[in-house]
Amino acid sequence: MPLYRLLYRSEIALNGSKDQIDHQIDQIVSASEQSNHLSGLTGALIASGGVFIQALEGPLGALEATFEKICLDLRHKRVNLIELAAAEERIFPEWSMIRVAQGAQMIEICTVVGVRESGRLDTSTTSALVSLMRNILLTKSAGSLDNEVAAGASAAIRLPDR
Amino acid sequence: METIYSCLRDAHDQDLLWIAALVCVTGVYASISLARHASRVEGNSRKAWAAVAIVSSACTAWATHMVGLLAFQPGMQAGFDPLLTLMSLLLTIIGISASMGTAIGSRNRLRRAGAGLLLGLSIALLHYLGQAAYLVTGRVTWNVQLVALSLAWSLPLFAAAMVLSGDKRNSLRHLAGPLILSAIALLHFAGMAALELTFDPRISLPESALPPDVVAPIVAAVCAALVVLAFMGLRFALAARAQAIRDRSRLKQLADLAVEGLAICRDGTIDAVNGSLATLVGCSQQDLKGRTLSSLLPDTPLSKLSEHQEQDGELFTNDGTRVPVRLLRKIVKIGNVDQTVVAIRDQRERLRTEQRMRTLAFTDALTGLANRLQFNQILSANCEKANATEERFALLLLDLDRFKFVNDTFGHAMGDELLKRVARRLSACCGSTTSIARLGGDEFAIIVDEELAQDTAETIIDVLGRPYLIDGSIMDIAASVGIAIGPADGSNPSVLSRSADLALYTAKHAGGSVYRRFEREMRERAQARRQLELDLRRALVREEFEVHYQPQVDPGDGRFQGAEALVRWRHPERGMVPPADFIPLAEEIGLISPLGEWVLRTACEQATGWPSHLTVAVNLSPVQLRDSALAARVMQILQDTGLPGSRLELEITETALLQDEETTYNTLHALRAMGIRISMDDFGTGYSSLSYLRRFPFSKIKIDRSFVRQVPEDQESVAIIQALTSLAAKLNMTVTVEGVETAEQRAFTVSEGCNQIQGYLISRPIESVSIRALFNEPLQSVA
Ligand SMILES: Cc1cc2nc3c(=O)[nH]c(=O)nc-3n(C[C@H](O)[C@H](O)[C@H](O)COP(=O)(O)O)c2cc1C
Repeated sequence: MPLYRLLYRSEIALNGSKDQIDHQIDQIVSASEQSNHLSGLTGALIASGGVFIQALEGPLGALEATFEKICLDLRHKRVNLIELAAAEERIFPEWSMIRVAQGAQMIEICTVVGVRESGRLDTSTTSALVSLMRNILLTKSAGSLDNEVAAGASAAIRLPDR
Repeated sequence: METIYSCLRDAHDQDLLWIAALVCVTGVYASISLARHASRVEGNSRKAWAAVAIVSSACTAWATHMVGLLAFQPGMQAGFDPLLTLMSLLLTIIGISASMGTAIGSRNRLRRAGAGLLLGLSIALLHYLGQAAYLVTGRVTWNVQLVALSLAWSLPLFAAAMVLSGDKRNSLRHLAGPLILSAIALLHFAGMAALELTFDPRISLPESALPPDVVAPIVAAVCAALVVLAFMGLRFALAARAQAIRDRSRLKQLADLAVEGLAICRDGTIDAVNGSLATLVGCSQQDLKGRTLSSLLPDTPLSKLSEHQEQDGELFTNDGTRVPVRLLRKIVKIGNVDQTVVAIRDQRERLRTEQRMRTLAFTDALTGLANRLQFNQILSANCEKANATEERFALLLLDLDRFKFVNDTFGHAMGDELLKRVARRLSACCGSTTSIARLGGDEFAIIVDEELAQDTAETIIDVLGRPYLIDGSIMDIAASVGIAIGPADGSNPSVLSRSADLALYTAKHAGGSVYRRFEREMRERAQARRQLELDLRRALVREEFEVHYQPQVDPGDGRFQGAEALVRWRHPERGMVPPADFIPLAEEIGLISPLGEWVLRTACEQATGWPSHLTVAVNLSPVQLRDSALAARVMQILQDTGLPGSRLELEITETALLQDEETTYNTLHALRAMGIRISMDDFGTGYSSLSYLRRFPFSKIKIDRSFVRQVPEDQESVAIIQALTSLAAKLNMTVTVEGVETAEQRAFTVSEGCNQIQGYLISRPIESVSIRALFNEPLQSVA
């Protein structure tokens, strides 16, 4: 079955203190993990600077159905699809859903993507973005943050000025 | 009593007594079975069989009596008086007939008692006459007391028996037979005991007396006849029973065929049910027998059921469910007995169908939301409530931007899927108390509390604007929302809807993806627009349009090359209406085609009055260009007016090329073939797609006035004009610069090698008379 990947950005619309919001995001991630596991999806979620960025990958049908559910969700606003494209392989095969821990790189990614609030990005930019997400996840789990990897990747996705 | 008993024991031949009893029983059976048979048959045979039954009963009584007499052993010679014996038989027949005649068909107890007395009397008469006919060689004395006693005891018994035989209750009716038998026996034996015979040799039997030897065979013959009759009766009874069984099974088959459940009840207890009812209740027919009807219909007592009108009830089935049913009660004669039949019709299917029809009628089949019909009801109810309580509510009308595009591009199936998702997203945006309806197409309506209106509208616009991924395609649509508050913006559904509609219209005109609350000015603006629309529709007929012309000259030597035709509307009250105010409206209301054609015809006509080297340029709207008959129409106009095609220029904008490229391509080439030149109007404002310049046969580019305005100061504008001019030269096209207002601008165009200019520096647009005058001046240039 051909694989697809989608990447979207939205604005967090959760209420409460910082901790409460953090807790709610963790709940979203753990619920997503279960439901994605059942439908064969994998991916990662960034929540930082008031913005969600989520990468989801898997078979097209499941991807579309889950994205429709996400679009019904009022816990975020201004859902903006950055990319939907066929993919060679999964970038997050080991996670049904995982939250990418906060960090300077993440905020930078958010602003970079935020530069173009509307409109889709080209595939090379998005794959760089997604790879960066993965790298940060891996570095985090390895215990130290490999700044060079992150910086290199974020440089790769910096967009030419219009 | 003592006397009766000793008389029985001592004075009778015991064997003959048994025979008497047997004859009596046989005769009674014969009479009864024949009488029954009579009641079953019809017409003359009924009367005949009734007569036979009566005669047989009389004969029974008589024969019993005679055998009894024969059994009597008086101890002396005995004989029978023939006349009295015969009389006793005849009188009995008459008496029984009379009695039966009185009793038949009557339930009146007094009358039946009378009939019983009559029967008793006639049997008593038979008895005592018979005894009077019994002659012995001795003296006969009567014990009057015993005779009186026998009458006093037996007559009430007869009366009682007749009354009982007419009773409704089976058990009592069955008592009638034994009662009559005992009355007869009492009469007989008491009568015999009352008779005292004393032998007296002086008394001899009269000549006419028949000896027992002679009478006995006669009696035997009568008995034999009774036996025969009894057999006939038996046969009739058996045949009748067989028939009854056949009838019943046929009835049962018929009942089982019935779709309705049927229960035959007696005193509230079920006697029989048909298959349908057993299935309905969920057990066998046998199981239902003997149950009370109220165990099935606890809420509907049998007495409450009407005989004429069906009524609703609930049937409790074996598994505890309650089935809605219609009930009807009927009293039916089955055999000879009145029975209550209850018809029970299962209403579930009908109710389901009704429910389905209601659902179908009130919901939108595609999305499952309420449809317009139901929404109108909800809206009316809300309006009424709001008027009564002053409680305000918000009506949101929404409309999808770009839905038509998706539907046309991706097909209806995709459009339908999209609508379904839109409906689901709408439901997710609104609380459960909110009413959401699809009014048709891509129009939806929502009713919410007033204070939620804006938030809801915002959420809806956000959520519906999120991308839709369907079968690998990404679809982006957006929603515009109009809000009206009831009852402030309309106290009835139609005014309120109209207000919301105006708000929606305003939101759409603001570019979509926004919501607007209704404001009073919207109504005025709409009113003005409607008025303008009306005026516009009439303007063509009333010839309120005029064509004005703006001359086009060679920037170098200032010689006239032609003019652009521009439509003007001279409104009778408002004066000149600017094209920007009415051209979009004319496009919207479908008036642009006839108007455009009128302008074209008029311009061609008037241009024929100009010097023959001058051209006329006419604008074509996108709508005209989409019409595949355009080329033919232009050809016709050229023929009608006599203007050569080479003197006509048609100007089109880039947006006109966006739609239906195929038709446009063909049309433009056909026009080109007539020698008509095509120019690209307003170049530089829209997409400015260079591919269009290559694909379509343009001979001229008109550079938009916005670029000229800033020359020669603005470097960018200068660069663009330079680039376009050289591009046009390379593509073999000429360049016209519009909006030239100053001498510097003109000089610039000359230096850049533009072929033509147009603008206030030369002349503003002028009336046809003036342009003609201008063109026919000898100088022919504006240097
Ligand atoms: C930012 C964000 C990301 C989400 N990601 C997922 C996801 O990957 N998979 C998923 O099933 N639900 C996800 N959800 C939750 C869905 O929106 C929705 O609440 C959930 O799927 C409801 O599932 P249910 O209808 O099966 O209960 C996400 C929600 C938010 C706000």
